Amino acid sequence: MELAKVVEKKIIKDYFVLKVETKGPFNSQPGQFVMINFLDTFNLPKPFSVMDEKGNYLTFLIKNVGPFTEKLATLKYGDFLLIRGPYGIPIRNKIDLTKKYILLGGGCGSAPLIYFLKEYPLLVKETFFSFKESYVQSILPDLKLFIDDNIGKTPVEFLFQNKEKLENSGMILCGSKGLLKSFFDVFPYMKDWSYVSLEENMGCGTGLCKGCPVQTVEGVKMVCKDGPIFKANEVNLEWK
Amino acid sequence: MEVDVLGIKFKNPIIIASGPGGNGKELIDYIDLSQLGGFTTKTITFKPKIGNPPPRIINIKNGVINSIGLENSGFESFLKDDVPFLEELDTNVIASIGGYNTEEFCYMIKSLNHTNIKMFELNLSCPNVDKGGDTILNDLRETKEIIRRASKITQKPLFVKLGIEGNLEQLAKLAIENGADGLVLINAPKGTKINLKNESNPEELLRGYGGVSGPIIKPLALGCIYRVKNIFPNVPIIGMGGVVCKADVLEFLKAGATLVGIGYGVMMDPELPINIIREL
Repeated sequence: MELAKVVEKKIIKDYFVLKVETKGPFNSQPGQFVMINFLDTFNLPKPFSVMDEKGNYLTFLIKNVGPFTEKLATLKYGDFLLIRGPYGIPIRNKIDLTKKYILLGGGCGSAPLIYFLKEYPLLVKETFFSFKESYVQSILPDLKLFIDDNIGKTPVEFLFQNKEKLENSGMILCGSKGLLKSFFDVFPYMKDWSYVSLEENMGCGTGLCKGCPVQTVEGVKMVCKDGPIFKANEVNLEWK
Repeated sequence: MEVDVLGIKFKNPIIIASGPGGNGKELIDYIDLSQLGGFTTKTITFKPKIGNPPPRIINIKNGVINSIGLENSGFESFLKDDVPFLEELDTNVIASIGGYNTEEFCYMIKSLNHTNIKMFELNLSCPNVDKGGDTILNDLRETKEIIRRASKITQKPLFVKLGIEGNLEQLAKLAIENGADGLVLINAPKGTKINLKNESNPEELLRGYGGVSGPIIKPLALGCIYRVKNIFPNVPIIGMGGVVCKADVLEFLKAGATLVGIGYGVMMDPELPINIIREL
C-alpha cells in the first residue's frame, strides 16, 4: 500500500468529502474504488469509490457510519493514510455506449456517478444524486442534488410520478441494496436497460478472498473484481 | 532463510495460507509467487461449492470473521484449470484438500500424486454441511480413518490442519500416530459478532458464526504451536494465525513453527508477504 496525504476535508454532520494527495496518479476511472487503511492498525482496509481524480489527487465522498469512517472523519490536513488500487471494472467498460443514462445514486453511492458525470457528460441524460437531508449540499456546492426532505419524496417515488423520464433511457444505479430493490420493485421492466453498481462487505478488494459475492446468471461473481458494475438483469439481489 | 521440510527445500519460511491467495492465478497480478517459500491452494472439495450468500466478511478489531463457505469449482475443474498453472510455479505448492468423507479425500490425493504439487494439507476443520454442520474433527473415528487411509495413499508429505476446537493434544497425537507427516496450526476458530442495534437478527453472519482470522488469534496460534511442539519436537509445523509483520514470523518460528503461513495479511495487502520476505 502507498502513502496518501490528506489535503482537504469538508465535513458536515455525518458526511464528509476527503481529498488526498498520492505520490503519482492512480489512473482511476469512474466506477472504480480504492482500498484505504490507517497506518496504525492491523484491521482490514475498506473500499471507497473514487468521486474524482485529478493529477495526484483523489477525492472521496464518505458517510460516517462506523468506527472506520469515524476515524477517517477525524483526520486533519497533513495526516497520512494507506491506499491501494484502483480496483473494479470501470462503468464505461460495461455499459452500452450508444445510450444515454439517468444516474441514480443513493447517498455515498452517488460518488462514482458524480465522477462518471464529470468524465462522460455526453452519456448522461439526467442525474439523481439522492440524499435525505439538505445539509449535504454544503460540501457538494457545485452539484445539483436530489434532497428527499426538500422534494418530499424519494427519487424512486419521483420517477414513478414522472415515468416519461425513463423512456428511451438507460439507468445506472449505485447505492444500498434497499435502494436498488425499491427501484426495480417499481420499474421491473427497467432491468433490461439498467446497470447497478453494487456495495458489499469486502475483504481484500482484489478478487482473492471471495468475500464479496453476488449471484449472477453466470454463477457467483465477486463484486470487487467482476463488478462493482453489473447489468441489472444479470444479478440476483435477493440471494440469501 | 532456506528451510528444509521433510526433504523439500523452501526458499524461505513464508508460505501463503489456504484461502486468500485463491489458486495462485489471482495473486500473480500483485506479487511474484516465485519469491515465496510456498503457496497453499484454496481448499478444494470434490464437488463444486458455490459458497455462502453475502455477507461473507465481517470486520472486527484486529481481524475478520469470514463465512466464505469453501467456494470453489470442484476437483475436476481444479485438475483441468489450476494444476497446469500451479505446476509451472517456481515455488512449492501445497494442495489443501477438503473432502466430506474418506473416499473423497483419497480420490483427490491419488489423482494429485502424479502432479508436481509438493505436499497435501488435509482440511478437516471446516463445517461438514452434509452432516448437520459439524466438523469432521469432532468425529475422532472418522478423523482417524481419513488420516490413516490418506497417509497410505499419498506419495507426498501429508499435513493435517488443526485448530483450537477439540482436544488439540489428542488430535495431534491421533494425526501423527496415523501417518500424518506434519501439522498445520491453526485453522480459523469460530467466532460471532453481535450487533446490538439489530434486535431480530443480532448475529451479523447468516449462519451465526464464521472463522476468525487476523492478529486477534495470534496468541491462540502461538499457544497451539507451543503445546504441540512440546509433545512432538520433531514434527514439522506450519504455523499461521494473524501473521502481518516480520516480528510475527520470528515469534512463530521461535514457538516451534517450521514454516509460517500468511492469509489475513494477504487480505490486508497482497504485497505484504513479499515485503516481509525482503525484511527477513
